[in-house]
Amino acid sequence: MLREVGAKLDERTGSNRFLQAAMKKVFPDHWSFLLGEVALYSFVVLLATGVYLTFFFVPDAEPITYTGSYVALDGITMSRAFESTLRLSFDVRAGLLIRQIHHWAALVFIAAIVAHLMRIFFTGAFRKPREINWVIGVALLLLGIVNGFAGYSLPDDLLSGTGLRIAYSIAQSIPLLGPWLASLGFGGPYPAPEIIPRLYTLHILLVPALIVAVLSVHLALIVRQKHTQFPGPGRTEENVVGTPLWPRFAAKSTGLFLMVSATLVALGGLFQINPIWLYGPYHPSQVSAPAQPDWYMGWLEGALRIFPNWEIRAFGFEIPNVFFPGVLLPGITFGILFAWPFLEARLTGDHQIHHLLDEPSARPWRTSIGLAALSFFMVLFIAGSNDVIASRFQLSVNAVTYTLRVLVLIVPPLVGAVAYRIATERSSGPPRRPTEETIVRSEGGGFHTHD
Amino acid sequence: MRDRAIIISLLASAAASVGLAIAFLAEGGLAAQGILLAIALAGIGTALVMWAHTLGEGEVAEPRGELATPTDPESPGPGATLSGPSRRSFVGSLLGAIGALAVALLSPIKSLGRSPESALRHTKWAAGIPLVDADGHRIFLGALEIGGVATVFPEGYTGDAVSQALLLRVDPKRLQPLPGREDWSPDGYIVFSKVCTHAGCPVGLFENTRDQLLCPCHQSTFNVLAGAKPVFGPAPRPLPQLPITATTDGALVALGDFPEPIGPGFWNRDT
Amino acid sequence: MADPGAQPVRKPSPFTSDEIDAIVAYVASLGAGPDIPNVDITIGDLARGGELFRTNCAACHGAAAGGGALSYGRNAPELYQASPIEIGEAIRSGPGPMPIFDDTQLNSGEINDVARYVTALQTDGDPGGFGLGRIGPVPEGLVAWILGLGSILVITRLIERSSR
Repeated sequence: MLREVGAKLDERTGSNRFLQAAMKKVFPDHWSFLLGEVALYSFVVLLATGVYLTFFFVPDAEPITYTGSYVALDGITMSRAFESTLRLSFDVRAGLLIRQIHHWAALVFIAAIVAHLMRIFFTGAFRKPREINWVIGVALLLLGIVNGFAGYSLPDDLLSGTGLRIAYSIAQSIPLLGPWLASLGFGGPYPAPEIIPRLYTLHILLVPALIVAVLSVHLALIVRQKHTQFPGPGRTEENVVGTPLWPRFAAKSTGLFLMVSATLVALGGLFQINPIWLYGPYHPSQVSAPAQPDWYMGWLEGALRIFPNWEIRAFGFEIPNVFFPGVLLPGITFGILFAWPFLEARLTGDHQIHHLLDEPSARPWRTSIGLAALSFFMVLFIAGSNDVIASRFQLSVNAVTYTLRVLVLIVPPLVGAVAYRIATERSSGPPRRPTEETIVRSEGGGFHTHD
Repeated sequence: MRDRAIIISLLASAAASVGLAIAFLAEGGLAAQGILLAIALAGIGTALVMWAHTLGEGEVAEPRGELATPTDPESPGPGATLSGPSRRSFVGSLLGAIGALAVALLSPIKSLGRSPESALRHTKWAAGIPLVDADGHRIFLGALEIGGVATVFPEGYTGDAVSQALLLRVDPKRLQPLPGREDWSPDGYIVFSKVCTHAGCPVGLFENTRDQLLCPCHQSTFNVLAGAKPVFGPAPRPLPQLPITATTDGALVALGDFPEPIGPGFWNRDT
Repeated sequence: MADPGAQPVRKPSPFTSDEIDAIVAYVASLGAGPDIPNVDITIGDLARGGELFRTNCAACHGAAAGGGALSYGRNAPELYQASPIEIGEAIRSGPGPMPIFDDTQLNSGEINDVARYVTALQTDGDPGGFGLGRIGPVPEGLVAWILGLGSILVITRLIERSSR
């Protein structure tokens, strides 16, 4: 029956030519190559659950009195945004489930992107001809983080509202343009209620559209350039060895999509996330502790906490304190991330095309720099939860902060040095005796070892 | 064996789907709906993955081919058709005109926001304005014990984000007022801006035995007895102090606005 | 308490109820101090209590009354075992670094409201599932990485292995 449909389609569009070529596309088999798909499928879950949420959420900061079923807030004045989120959570069938799936999916989406980025980085998959795809990937990470921040700020609750206040101050700290940019972005001086509908437009329209467009280019490039592969029997720079798209890879991939969805659904059903009814509606003169952003902003939060209280003041002008951890640090971070393939090519003088991946230990410099950078951000993440650590483990938050200021400076070079040692010892270790193996070619053209 | 596992997966999925429909219609709990939906999805997923194993023939190799297009003298490509001096100058002026248009089209952005200048420098506090609490009630001497704290606003502007302030009562003998501010704190009542000078969070924690205000966001700590000077954390400047006095009937009123812009810094704050 | 500056820890009392009453009567005879408040949560307004809690208490004790860090090792403790009378007593006497809220700030009706709200926080379940300590994005991030991405990574390895 499928054949008949295919034939009818082909008579009208010539689709068989495309489909036959597509079906034969080969995808190498390694579990770490599936990380990008995990991110993609999390994004699909975000889109599906997100659409459902848009039917109920009202992006408006105008006040309204709550009369829903959560009695602890009965009669309280709150914004329509907060009220609609409460109504969705308590008075819409499966509303809380969908909302929680959506939020867990966002956290896992960005975690998957970061894991995928690490795989690409440590195996050198960003080298020519894939520099463009790396740049696109970093852009997707940035877009994901922005959309996550915009998304969890929509309910206008006390926790996310505090985060918006901090974001306003960071924007305001930019030299020359700061106050104007902050007022421009938020729609006026703080607190600007305009920000809620603006974030909504950003969150459901602009950024998802950008993500879909940029993702499509990302995937098209993979199809065009074909996937990279690890060196191994029968694998060269001129071929790609693995599973054909149809039917095996497509079935596997669809299975992965369903398993990712199942995991996100299970999280949404079992674990409470972002209980805004406990935080209460946002009031600029209220605050709760502990106050953290969602995990992917934790490195920024940590930088804000442990950076010393330095400000630059000269000739009546100043560069405020939050500029350094809040603007300069992420600027440099993403600047280096975006530029990395070109930086590495220039530093190593390697402008060749590479389709075979590196073992991380074969590249001690890249691996040790990458691990040092990772440890730097890990310390910042820990710094972002310094008050939670202090209160859980009965420590002085002041002592924890001072300790982290020292750790952020000494841990990365230490990790880098140790990683370099291990990598160089691994790659120049005792010479491996070549094993006797017979390589057999199957009828389909693939290679496997024949014992 | 594998076939049986596939069938079982699909049956489990179908059963879970039926259960989900029932749970949904009968308004069963969140966990039940979540787990049933997860099983329904995972059942099909597992079946698909197991079935995928039975398909196809092991590994296949596909040649990569050259990525770059082979050069062809007959069709020179997009860059070539735009070369040549007359074409270049046209393209140059074309780009210039488009650039000017793009800059002009940016001007509606100005209506997205007002200039924040005066909002950053002035709050609603002024001479003679009484202090009120979060419910709008005026504050009188005797409102706080020593070691007490309340969030206060200018009368008529309850809840105002930039004017929000903290009224504290400390032992007047232990106060070390800044020069010229000896009359700003009647009977130990002292008022500071509640907006943290680091990143703008409300400085909500008062540790009265330490005479410290602690901001929960990034742990900036201010010494209340010494003009809210920062003693720990990333805040670079003290919290601005509001001059207050008590009227003849004991009401606390402001003597003027804060002497400097409140909250986090910006590039021309000192000018 | 051996060190009055240290963080007090809730533990079983070494005194009987009569002994405690006797100590209280003795200390009260030494000078002025707030009376033990009369707290009745059955007449407390739950929603108003929540508003008062968020305005006055959440900054130190957390929006979910889970407690929070103060400076130099001190903690605003979690309130999950506080009885209504203990809540009222703490509000009126400001133990340790806690500020004092007297009658003009929070009258006895408002103390009933706050105590009712805190008691509800103690007894109410979490509508969304496991509450993760109601701490917020920190445990949520850990769960997303360890349980979320972690399970998915296990699944991807199983998928790859099963297709060999």
